[in-house]
Amino acid sequence: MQLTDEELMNAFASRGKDDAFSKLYEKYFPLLSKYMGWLANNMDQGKDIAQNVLLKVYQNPASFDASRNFKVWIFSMAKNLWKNELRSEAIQKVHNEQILYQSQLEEEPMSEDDNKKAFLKKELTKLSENHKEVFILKYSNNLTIKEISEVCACSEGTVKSRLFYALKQLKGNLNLIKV
Amino acid sequence: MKNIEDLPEQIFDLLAEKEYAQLNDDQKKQVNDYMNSEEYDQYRLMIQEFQELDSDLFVEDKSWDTIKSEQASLPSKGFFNRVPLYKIAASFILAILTSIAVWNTDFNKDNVLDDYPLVEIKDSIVEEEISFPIELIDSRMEEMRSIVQSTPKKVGKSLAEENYPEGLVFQFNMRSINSANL
Repeated sequence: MQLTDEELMNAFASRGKDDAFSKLYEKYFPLLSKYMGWLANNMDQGKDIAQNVLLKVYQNPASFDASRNFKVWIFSMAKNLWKNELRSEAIQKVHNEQILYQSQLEEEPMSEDDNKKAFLKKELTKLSENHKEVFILKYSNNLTIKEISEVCACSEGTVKSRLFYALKQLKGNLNLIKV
Repeated sequence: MKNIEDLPEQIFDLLAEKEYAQLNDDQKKQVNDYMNSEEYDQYRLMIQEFQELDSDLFVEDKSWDTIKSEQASLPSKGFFNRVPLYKIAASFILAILTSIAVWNTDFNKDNVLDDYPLVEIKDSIVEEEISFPIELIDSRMEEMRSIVQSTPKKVGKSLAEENYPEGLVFQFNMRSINSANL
């Protein structure tokens, strides 16, 4: 029988079962890496932050409140860690200037499909952090509107509004390529 | 168009799953309240492209055991790497301020006020007995009465013609008081 995330975390926290944590790690490391990577516009930095989050969870399992949704809790923790990272000036400069996989794209000749993807990446970086975040959480991490509202500490209506605006913005800019 | 905040969550899910032509009548009705079919398909295409892009992102699949062993081999972080520098600085400043405050309290036997000795206030008011020369005034009053009584009353003369007896002129001066042996 497959255990839920909360059950796995409880098994680790109360009985010290390392294999339970290992399963959580395998599930959430890629999700958190992509979430942080998109926010930071830097995949390597995203992986570092994701690893730090999971290490903190491993070192302090008692910090998890069993009544909470584990997914929301761990994404909220990752977001808080990202905010702490942003306070560092040096990282903020990198965040503002860097485009995901830019160097790789410049080296290889690009097909039309690659061009579209490159443009999409670029347009995503132009979105405000609030709009980009809800878009990533919905379409990369598959969180529900309710879960996104808890991670972002805003109402569900606000999440829908931001998500719709992000879709509209990206669609509008992508249409410009076709024109 | 209706308020976006009332947009059913299902529409956001449908955008990732189905084309507009694949929607049933109820779903189309819901979608039409917020966008037309062309917009729906454009949004869907964009989400598909993003999800392809997202799935292309390669994330190393390191096992948790590998991570643990890597962490164990790292040197332990020093105190100053674990505790933020601003907290250390704030604690240091607080310790200095606390020690200054304690130094100036009653626990310290040195009294700051010892540097500023109290000025002794002496009673500088001297009571002096002053005797008023009442006897001198009485004697002078008697003289004036006798002069008034002995001076005949003159009628019909102007004030300018009258000679005021000098005895009625009361001369009060310090010499007369001093001569009275106070």
